[in-house]
Amino acid sequence: MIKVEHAVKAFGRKKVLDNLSFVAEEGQIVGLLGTNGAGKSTMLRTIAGLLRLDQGEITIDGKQPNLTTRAMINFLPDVDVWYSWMKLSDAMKYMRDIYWDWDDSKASHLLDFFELKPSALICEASKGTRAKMKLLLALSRQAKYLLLDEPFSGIDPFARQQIAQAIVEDFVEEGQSILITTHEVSEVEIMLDEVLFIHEGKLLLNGNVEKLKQASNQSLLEIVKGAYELARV
Amino acid sequence: MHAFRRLLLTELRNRRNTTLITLGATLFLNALIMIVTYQADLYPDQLGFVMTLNIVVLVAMLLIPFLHGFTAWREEWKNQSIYQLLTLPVLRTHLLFAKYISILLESVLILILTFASLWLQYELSDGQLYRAEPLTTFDWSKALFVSKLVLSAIGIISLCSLSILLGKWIRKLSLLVTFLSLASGMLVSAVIYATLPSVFSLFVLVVAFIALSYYLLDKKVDVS
Repeated sequence: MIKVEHAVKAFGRKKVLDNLSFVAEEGQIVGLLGTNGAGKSTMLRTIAGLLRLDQGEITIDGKQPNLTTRAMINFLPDVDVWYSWMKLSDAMKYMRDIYWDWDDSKASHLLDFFELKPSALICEASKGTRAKMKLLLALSRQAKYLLLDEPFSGIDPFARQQIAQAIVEDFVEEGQSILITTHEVSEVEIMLDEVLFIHEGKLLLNGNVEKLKQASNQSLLEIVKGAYELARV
Repeated sequence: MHAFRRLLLTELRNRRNTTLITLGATLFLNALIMIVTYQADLYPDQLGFVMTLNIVVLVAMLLIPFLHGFTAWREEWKNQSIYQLLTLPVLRTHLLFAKYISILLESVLILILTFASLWLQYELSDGQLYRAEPLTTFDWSKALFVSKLVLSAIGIISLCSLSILLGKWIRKLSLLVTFLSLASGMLVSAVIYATLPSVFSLFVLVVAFIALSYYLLDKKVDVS
């Protein structure tokens, strides 16, 4: 379980996270939604241990971010993190040597699914192909918590829903939790169990997606839009 | 161990091109010095000039691994690979030592080429340029001298890392902070070594620099 309590983070005078609290239970897929600059990526980075909170606390299975929790988490940032000389096969070798939970058979299955070539240079690939390569490297691990920061950025609209569905149905292990940030609300709607909508670092909406939809008789996108309009007013 | 091996191999691959260029330049410059040595052999009063040339080339070439002490970390932020490094489930000492070893290895390769060149120059000058005897015999004072040199090299590399990590932690005016921390680290080291000139004091300094770098990397620096 990932527990965030009263998280506050500021860059200079700007508060990016403002007293944010939530819980991501095991085995759930949680969508962290929000406008640009809402604090979604900052939240994921603090959970991954890449940023430190000014106030508040984050615990992963009851432990503060440390060596043990780093092994449990698989963070896919929204930036390109691989060295310019690296081919996809180099990155796969790197992951295999570093992570004990790397699964070769899953990696080769994903290679076929995404139609990727191991000999391709990561930095020279198109944005969409790079996004697929990053997803392959992330999903080939059996980490307990998967933090995906804008994983569909650059992937064409036709492939997004197919990939989203494949992530849930084919590649996510039982008990694995996913925390995903995205702007593509309608495309991830089918895969989310819980939704968190944040605006200017504050949590505006939190709840079970199905219950929210049933209660309001609206799509997730409409619910989120409503919460956003209310916050602006 | 697989993880450390992979980190080290990645570090070596990261600087493969610059290392090859540095070694190529060292080879080329030493070849030029050997030509001068051969000609100076005809005019023995010029051998002092050859000695100076050797020292200048060695110092210039060792500046490159010294600069790598800084760029090894700065590049991680620049390439955004720091996002990957800081989330790895490995001890921070693995990250530090992988960088230290790769820089030390680069320095050792330059020194090997330089020693090979010095040996050839010794042969070319019919033994007039250097005394080979100190290099071919062993005694404990020489072993102590070499260990002091190795410790000093590790100390300089770890001080470079410490300075850059301090700059990354402070964030504002990071280059100035890096420069000031490097300068003050060197000054403190010089004062301590001048007061207690022993291998032990060098060892303590190296351990202190590594421990501080570890602390900064584990507790202070982040990707912002």
